[in-house]
Amino acid sequence: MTWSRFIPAGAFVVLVVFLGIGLTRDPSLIPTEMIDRDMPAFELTELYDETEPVTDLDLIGAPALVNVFGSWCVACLQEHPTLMQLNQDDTVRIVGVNWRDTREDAKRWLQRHGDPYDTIIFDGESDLAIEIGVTGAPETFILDRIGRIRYKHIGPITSDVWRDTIRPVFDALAMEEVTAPKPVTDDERPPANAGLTDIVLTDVDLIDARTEDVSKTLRCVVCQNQSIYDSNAPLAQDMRRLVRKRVVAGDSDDEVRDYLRYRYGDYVLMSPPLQLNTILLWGAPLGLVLVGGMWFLTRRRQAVPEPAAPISEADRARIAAALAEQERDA
Amino acid sequence: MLAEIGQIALILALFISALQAWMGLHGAHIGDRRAMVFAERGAIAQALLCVLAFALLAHAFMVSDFSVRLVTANSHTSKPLIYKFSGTWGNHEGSMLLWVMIMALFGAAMVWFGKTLPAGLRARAIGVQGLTTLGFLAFLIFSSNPFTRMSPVPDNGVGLNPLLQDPGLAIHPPFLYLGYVGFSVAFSFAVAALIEGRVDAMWARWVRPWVLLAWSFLTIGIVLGSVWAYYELGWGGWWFWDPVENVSFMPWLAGTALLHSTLVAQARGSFIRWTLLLAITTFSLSLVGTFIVRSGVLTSVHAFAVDPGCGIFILALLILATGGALLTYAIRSDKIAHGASFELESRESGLVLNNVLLVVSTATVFLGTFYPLVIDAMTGDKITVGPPYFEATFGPIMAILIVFMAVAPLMKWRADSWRRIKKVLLIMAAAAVPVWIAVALFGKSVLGGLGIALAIWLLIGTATNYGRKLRVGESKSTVGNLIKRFALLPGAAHGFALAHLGLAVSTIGIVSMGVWADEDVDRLKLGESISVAGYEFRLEDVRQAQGPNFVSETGHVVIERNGQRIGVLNPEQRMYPVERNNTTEGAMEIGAARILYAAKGDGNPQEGWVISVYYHPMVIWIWIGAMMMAFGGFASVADRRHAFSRRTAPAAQPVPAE
Repeated sequence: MTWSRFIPAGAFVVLVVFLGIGLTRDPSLIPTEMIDRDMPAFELTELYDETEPVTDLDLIGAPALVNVFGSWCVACLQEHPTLMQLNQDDTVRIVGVNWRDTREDAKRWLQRHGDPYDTIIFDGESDLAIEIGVTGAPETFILDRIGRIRYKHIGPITSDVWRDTIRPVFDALAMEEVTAPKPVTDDERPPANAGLTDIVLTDVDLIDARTEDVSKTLRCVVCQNQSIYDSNAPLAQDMRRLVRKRVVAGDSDDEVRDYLRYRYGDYVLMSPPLQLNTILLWGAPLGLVLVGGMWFLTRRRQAVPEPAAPISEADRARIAAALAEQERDA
Repeated sequence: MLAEIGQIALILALFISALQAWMGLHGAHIGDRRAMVFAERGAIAQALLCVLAFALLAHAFMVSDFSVRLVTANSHTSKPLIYKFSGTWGNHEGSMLLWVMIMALFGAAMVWFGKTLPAGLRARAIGVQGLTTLGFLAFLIFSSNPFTRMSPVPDNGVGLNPLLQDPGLAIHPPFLYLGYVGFSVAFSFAVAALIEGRVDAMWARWVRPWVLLAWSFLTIGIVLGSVWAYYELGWGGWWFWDPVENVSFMPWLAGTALLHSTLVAQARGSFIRWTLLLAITTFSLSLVGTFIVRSGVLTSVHAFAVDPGCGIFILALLILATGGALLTYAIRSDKIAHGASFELESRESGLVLNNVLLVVSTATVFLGTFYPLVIDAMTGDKITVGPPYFEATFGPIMAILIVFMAVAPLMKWRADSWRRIKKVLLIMAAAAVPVWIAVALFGKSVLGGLGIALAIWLLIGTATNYGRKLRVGESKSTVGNLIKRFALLPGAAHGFALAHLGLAVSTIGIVSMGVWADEDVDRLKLGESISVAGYEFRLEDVRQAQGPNFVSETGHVVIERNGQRIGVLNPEQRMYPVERNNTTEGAMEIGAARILYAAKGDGNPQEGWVISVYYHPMVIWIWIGAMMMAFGGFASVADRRHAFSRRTAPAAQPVPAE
């Protein structure tokens, strides 16, 4: 069985391949779950006029570039000139989502740097941001004319990004016939949830306890290996509040988790769900214990046969003495 | 000028390590004595040069020489002197230099303590050590040079991350590296033995103290990191299964397996190949850890410079070192003979089981840590493997391990029978089962009860074993005789007892924290309170103050229980203006059975301040137990059966000169 000597080296080669691939990937980049889904229903207000409602219906009609920004966001400033230019050329409809900001700060920021947006939705507490699975700013969604999300770009839109990545998407959308929405399978349908305005639970202690329990099982998507319960990141705080609202509205723990999983994917679950791509992860520890146990028993059987040569009485005495000494030492 | 001397010292060390590797390996091959002696002197010269380079970098930090770019990027004149010094290794390049220096010092220590070894084995091991150090020196000089100058010289530096300005963290990396790098000695000896194609009992006796030493240092390093995270990060936990914690834990687990397998190799001449493989694996896991921390392939709170360029270099080092060693293993291991046989009911059996379980647990932690990366590479799916996974998989494996850990040391070598130890097992069970039932009833947790019962099981099993070695209760067991027997027992016997009892103590802490810890968080105005586990925390005052290089806001929290005042906590928040960074300094009321902990967040008098409070039962037992393990390791190093026993204790030698 000489080939078995190569097992460690072989396993190491596999490891190196994955580490090498890992080097080319950004672990903090989370792909969106929202592609080819309808823009979720929302009801918020305009940035400049807080009495003016904006809903998802306002986004239907023509392709739109929905840009999530905030006055606190440094990278947003980096993409701002590109957006200004786009607005000047009047090539696309640009909708802003002013995320986790105050109206005053946002208005001042837009006054100073210019306002490229056709409409700005004010989203001070991440209501819309969580609905569409935002993980940071700037993020940009491209909607087709019937209000479906067709593309998402994470990070600033520089002129290169516009030319090479986003503009081709728009060009394709412009050529596209108005297609009937793809029939939604049960798998893709958003999980049924109670309306957020419902109040089903009123026991504050129970609400607190369940919010804590559920929050501990959800990962803060902008942090590093922290649950939204442990994190003080603004998005984590907003997610905690959302969890609480859903608990109050009568969702079960699993329904709350599914709600966020639908928007952020498996990534948001601290405990990986048992499914096809985690079978190895969950199965390996038990499998290894079994394999190790079997190896232990078979190896012993091989080793047991006593040496064939008879042992003389004198040797026996010497061995006994040596063993006794060893025993004292140990 | 001084920085240039440091630079030259490093370059000289690089050349010497290349010569050391060649002279050691080739000299041993052709049997050239003079070449072998040259390799040994080279190892010592190289260590001195690395110490010099490190001292010069530390000097640059302490006098705030901002013409050195590294100092500018990581230091500031307003920092206390101790943190200027510890800032030397509070960054990627400096910590790499510390790593290299420790590695070179271990190389020199191999020369000092290796006099009793066969010349060929010694020269080859020193050659391999030189080869590994060569790789790291090249990495340091060509990719992460700590001595790069900058011009114009700025008036002041950028500062050090305030989280790192802490005494616990100042000494955490040196201990961690003494552990990581300490395993390089076992690695070098494993590769040297494979090249020789011969391993005798002497080999195991020689390697075991180095493994014990590295393992003990690593244990202390991990404890320091855990304690630091506990009080500095203010997340109310002592272990988070974060990738960077996991990569320090994997060499520890593999190292634990290694030090047990060397026990069999030393006593019985068995498991030699397996021990060689473990020695290679353990140090390789240290290298993987370095790769993870410095390449940014996994997200972690503790990650260093996130630089793929660094990652490629370390990956290349990993391929050369581990790949080379495993290839040598594949080609040469058939030269190594199988050891003596043994029965199922024997101490060897127990140690095999120990190794199987420890390796499986290492593999589990490995899988959980790297699975997101593997899945991302294969399918592009992003998943999270969080603490619930590790608790569900690692926990049960450890439980099985503890069951056997209490039993196996009671067995004799080669062959024994259950009948012989039946009485002890019954006593252990008679103590553990009622504990299980009682704790499960009073603590309202069946699993919590099981955990505590396992700790008791281990405690009694270990104590019985130790007592038998001291022959307590046998004839003439007077106090004086017991002391005499205690002094006569070999170091390994004390080390065994201390380390195994330590695990029992830690287990009590870990189980208690996992099952009975409690916490709450709320916004409190002055005079308001929250209560947790029967303790009432009342916020009475909040004050501002000025520190040496920070401003702080401190809360005055009074703890009461049943109306009785227990203590006052002063949780603090610090703002470091230079680094523009905040830290949370949690405050603790420490008791033997519990820690009461409060941390203060943002707030104002109108809306109140965010105050988190924690009730942490038995938490210090975790660290006390771990320190017992570390000192158990040190006690075993001093065992008289080890090859360098009659010389001075090696513990004092490899510590970096400061």
